[in-house]
Amino acid sequence: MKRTLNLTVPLLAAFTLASAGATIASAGSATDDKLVVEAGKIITQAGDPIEDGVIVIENGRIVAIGKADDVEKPWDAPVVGGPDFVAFPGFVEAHTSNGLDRANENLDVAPFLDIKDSIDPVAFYFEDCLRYGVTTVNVQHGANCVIGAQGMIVRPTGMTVDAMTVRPSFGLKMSTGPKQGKSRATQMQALRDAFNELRMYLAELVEEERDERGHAEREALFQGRELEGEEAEGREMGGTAWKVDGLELIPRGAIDEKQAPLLDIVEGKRTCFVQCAGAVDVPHALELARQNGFLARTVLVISTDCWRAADRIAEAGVPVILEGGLVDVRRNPVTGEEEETFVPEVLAAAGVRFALSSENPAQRSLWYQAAMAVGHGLARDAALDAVTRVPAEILGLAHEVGSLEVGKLGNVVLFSGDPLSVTSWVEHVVVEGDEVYSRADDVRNKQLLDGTQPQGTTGGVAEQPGDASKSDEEEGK
Amino acid sequence: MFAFLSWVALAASPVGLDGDAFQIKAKEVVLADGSRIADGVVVVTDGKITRVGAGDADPNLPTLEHDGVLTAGLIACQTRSGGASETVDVTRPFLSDARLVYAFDPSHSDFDKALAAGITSVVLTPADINVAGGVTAVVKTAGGAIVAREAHLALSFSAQALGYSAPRPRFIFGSVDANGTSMDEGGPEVTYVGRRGTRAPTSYGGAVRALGARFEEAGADANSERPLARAAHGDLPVFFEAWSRNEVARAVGFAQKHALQGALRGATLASDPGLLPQIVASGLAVVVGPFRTGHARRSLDAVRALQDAGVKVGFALDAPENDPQAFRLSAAMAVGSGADRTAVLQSLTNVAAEIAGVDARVGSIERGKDADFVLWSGDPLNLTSRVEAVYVDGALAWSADRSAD
Amino acid sequence: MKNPDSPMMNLTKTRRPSLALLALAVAAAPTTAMANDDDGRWVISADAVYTAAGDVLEGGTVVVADGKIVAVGPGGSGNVLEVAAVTPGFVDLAVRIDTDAYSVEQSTEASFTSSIDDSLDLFSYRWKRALASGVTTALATPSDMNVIGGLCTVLKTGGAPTLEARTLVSGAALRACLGPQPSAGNQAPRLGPAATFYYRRPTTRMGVEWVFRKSFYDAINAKRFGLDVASEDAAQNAVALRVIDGELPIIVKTQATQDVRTAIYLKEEFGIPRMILDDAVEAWKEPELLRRSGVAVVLPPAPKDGRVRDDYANDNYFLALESAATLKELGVLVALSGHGSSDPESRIANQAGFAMRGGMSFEDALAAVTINPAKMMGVDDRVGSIEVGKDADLVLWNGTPFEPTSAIIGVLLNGELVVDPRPAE
Repeated sequence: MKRTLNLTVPLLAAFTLASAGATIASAGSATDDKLVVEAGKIITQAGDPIEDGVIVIENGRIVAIGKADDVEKPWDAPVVGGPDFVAFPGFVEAHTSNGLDRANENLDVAPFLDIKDSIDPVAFYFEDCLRYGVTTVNVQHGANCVIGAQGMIVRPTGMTVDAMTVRPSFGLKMSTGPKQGKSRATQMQALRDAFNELRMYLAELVEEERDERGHAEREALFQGRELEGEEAEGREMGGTAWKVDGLELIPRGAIDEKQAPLLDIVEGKRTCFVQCAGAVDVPHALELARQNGFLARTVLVISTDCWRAADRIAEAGVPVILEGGLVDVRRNPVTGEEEETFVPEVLAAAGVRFALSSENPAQRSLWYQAAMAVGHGLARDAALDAVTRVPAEILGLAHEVGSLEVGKLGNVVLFSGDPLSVTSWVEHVVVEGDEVYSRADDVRNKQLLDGTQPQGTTGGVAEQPGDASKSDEEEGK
Repeated sequence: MFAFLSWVALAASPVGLDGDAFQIKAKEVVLADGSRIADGVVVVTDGKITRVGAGDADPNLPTLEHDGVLTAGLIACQTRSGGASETVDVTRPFLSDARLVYAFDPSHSDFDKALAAGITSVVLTPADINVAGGVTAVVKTAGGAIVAREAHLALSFSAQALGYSAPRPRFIFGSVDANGTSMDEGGPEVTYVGRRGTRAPTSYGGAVRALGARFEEAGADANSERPLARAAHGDLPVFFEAWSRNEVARAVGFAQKHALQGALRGATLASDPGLLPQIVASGLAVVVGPFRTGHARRSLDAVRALQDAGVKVGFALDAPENDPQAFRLSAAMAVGSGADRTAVLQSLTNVAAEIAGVDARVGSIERGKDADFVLWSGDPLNLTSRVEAVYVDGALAWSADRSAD
Repeated sequence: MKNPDSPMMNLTKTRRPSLALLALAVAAAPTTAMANDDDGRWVISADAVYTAAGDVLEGGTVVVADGKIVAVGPGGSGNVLEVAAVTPGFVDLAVRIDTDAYSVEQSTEASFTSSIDDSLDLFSYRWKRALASGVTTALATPSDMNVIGGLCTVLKTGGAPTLEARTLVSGAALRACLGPQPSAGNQAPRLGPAATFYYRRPTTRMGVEWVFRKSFYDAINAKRFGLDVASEDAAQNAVALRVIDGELPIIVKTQATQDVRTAIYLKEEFGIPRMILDDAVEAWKEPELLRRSGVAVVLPPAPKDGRVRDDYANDNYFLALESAATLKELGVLVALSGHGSSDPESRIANQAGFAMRGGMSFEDALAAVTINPAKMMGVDDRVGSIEVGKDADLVLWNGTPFEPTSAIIGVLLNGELVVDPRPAE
């Protein structure tokens, strides 16, 4: 049966932008609305594993999960898997700047930009996501910014950004680590200035409104736009940190699009991913969030070094995404000896909620990060949560992804063995009921294994993935 | 300026003129064994110490009363004072016949500064940029007196000595900065691992082999009077620069293989439990410092560790890069790090003289020795103490009073 | 402890769930606090003993005394350490711990007679890193700036920091390097006098290969015609002839396919019996040459996406994940290496895991980090497997070896417990 009705078309989804509701833009490429996944073992990440289990997915969501004997399988549904496979929820990449045309905007403060314009759906990164079982990806602006663009959450499948969209205009990137050419002092000054400017801008708007100036300009802004609700009427300023009195006089649609995303942040309506390049940046990030009322929506993207600020992070109660390696290796300046600190353990001991990441270019994907975390002493459950449930919570998708439960999205990865074993492979990936990856058909995985050049491609295997696709294009000319 | 003032001081001094006998009565006189004589009297005749004792002064001699401490003049076991660029010869990595005694200016202000800091003798060494840098000399800081024309053969296994790049116009060689990054114009920028030089040897191994071959050749000639041969025969001690632990281990191994005696210079981490026994077994002394504020604790610990292991320790001055006023700072920092106070003072005086091979003449308040001494307002290792007067060969060479004029 | 003043350090990892341990040095206090008996005897009881000598003992023990393995099998009394698994200490022929440019004599491009012994830094903290990652025996090589770098030494990664205490074989192999690295930074004379020896050194791969060939050609000719040569040349020729006679293995760094081919052609031209290709990223591309030539191969750490960057040539090479398995199938003696990296993913135990991901069996992967490299260096009589009489170099595991979910929790070197698997007090 073909999917006939697709209510949340991407265009509509784009208009729901900041509402941050439960709406999920669904995969547009589904061919069947039913799928049965069979596995010798299902690791649900929500209770005990199920031996000889079955997952039934309908219209992109899990409608039944349990032992094969207990679950009624729809007779007309295609089946994926079998007794040799281990089923696991898709991994959730809590934060990445991969898969972008260019990750960093030259402008220091660019919250009016949308990362969707930079996402390259055919980037090898998204292909790699499926190859290693990642089914949900939060794509954010790169670290080299003061305030970056609006990010988005995608599924790593689909030929267009619209088809990939899970949550449009999600989150915003900031960095307390200095942007290239800045010092920490000027970086913080630029961050504070951005919020001060917002405040002055809003106050001026209100003043103009009270003086009955500026109507003509706003009229011009409304040209061709049909605004309703608060967009047309205005609303009192929300948030907890600071307020501009009289903002209710201003229709929200009249607020400059350069300032609107920052107002969202001060009103606590948007998640902020704040990059900390070192432990020194953590207090600055937290202070900025406190001063502008977005601490409750702050997620710190931390480097390995930031473990030294674990207590400060715990005290602030914000979750973190560990972007550097798992182990901080440094030489003690006093003894000259090399010291190793296993960062997740420090974070866990301090009571910090953390997600692991594979953002670092040298690092393997999330399965390997979780496995190494176990190797270094983190409890297996905690390690698996750090690549599934915790990032799902951080992204506000706890009710959708991160575990295999009835009602959640049908994102299932079938492994050839234990998901954390070095000899296991991702054999099949199901995203919202569609089988989008099968290792048997993965020519580039074969290339990684034996070096065989996939047919119809040019460029040496050693070249950058981007180079290969470029030479394809050139050949087509 | 100092030079002028000190000559004035000499001329105007009521005591200490050449040929005269005089005596100094000090509240405390520090002897070579570390013991202290309260109200001690030191008699100086013809520039030599002729009597050291306690109690009554000879009523017939001119007497200087000093309400403070008298110690032997301090001895810096390494410096390039008064020589500076003359001690840097980049033409050849092996210059064992060069003599530092020909490379210093006795009237250079470096020596006045040293005098003002209570330093009366120094070991002049070449820069450590050559594997074999030349023969060191011991000179006094006043009057240009030479104590020893040939003190040591200076050797270096420091990385500084390897592949030294002589400064040259950029259009010939380009330039390679300390990190090894070529800034040459034309062609892609190349980053090298480590430093590249223009001169053999470029490696530790190359230095070991080349120097070893020279020692073997020189040692085989029993009649040779050249410095290499004398060092190989055990007649001339070596002064061996080696800084990091692996360099020290290499130098120690080399010294043992070729039966060399003398001193190491550097050995920042001599307290390393794996390295210390190797140094002890070699019988070499160690010249440490200069320490600066902010110096790693581990390197300060070296002094105590070496003392505890029975290794002779001396202190380097390394002027003109370092100011002589900081000489005592190095010693005080070592004491602050747990080194024995008495032993550290000995390292500045009589032990330093032993390391320099001039202990028969200088370094202690003892009958028959040169009358080189310092009058301190208090304990010399207390940094609030001041130098009040410095005597060299029985003559007042520097005085706080005169210099304040 | 037998000797409380032993400079052998107790390596403590910070992975145990105790905050107090978090910032402890990898190398902490000397092992005075250890509860070993005075006889230096340990009994390691493991769910599985992987000997790398053919057998896997389920529920076996390894008994260690006086630095040697004295019994392998069930039972044994003494200080018992209970662990999930035990493997031999790893042998890494590419730990890359050197004194950079100071480890290689660049005033010549072929320093046959240089010995790495004269340039080693036994005090480097990187030895402790290697030891903590399970490497107990390593090959020390000079930095690859010369075509012929000099003589290498097989040594233990721990013990007193002296050559006497650590060396297994001095002059165990001759180091060479083909490819762009030995010519990087050399330059053609331009203006002014040719004041530096970099002007006369090779500037291309061709030049590098020529220096290699000329050295061996000269040695053969001098012997054949009884030429009277300078003593330094004679010493150099003697080393080259030992390589040609098979007394001395030559370990050649060859990353790109073309360098692998060049090395093998040189091997065949001069009839060099024992050649090891190190860092052979693209060896997998020349299966027939490898099979024919009988070279052994040391593979570099597997990068995430197979791409190995070569800064000297501004080029990328590709390491296929199946390389280790493929080479083994071809009958090539294969070893893996960790390059002494600080990155946990690059360490040697993980390389064995990646080799298995690329299709290698557990036994072959184990051999590739233990007995195979030991054989290449001719030290398999002392290290590389768990057998009675061999050095007591052991790696203790808390789970299945080479899985990323397992950790190395203990290391014994010469019978001394240098990484203690027991939880800290």
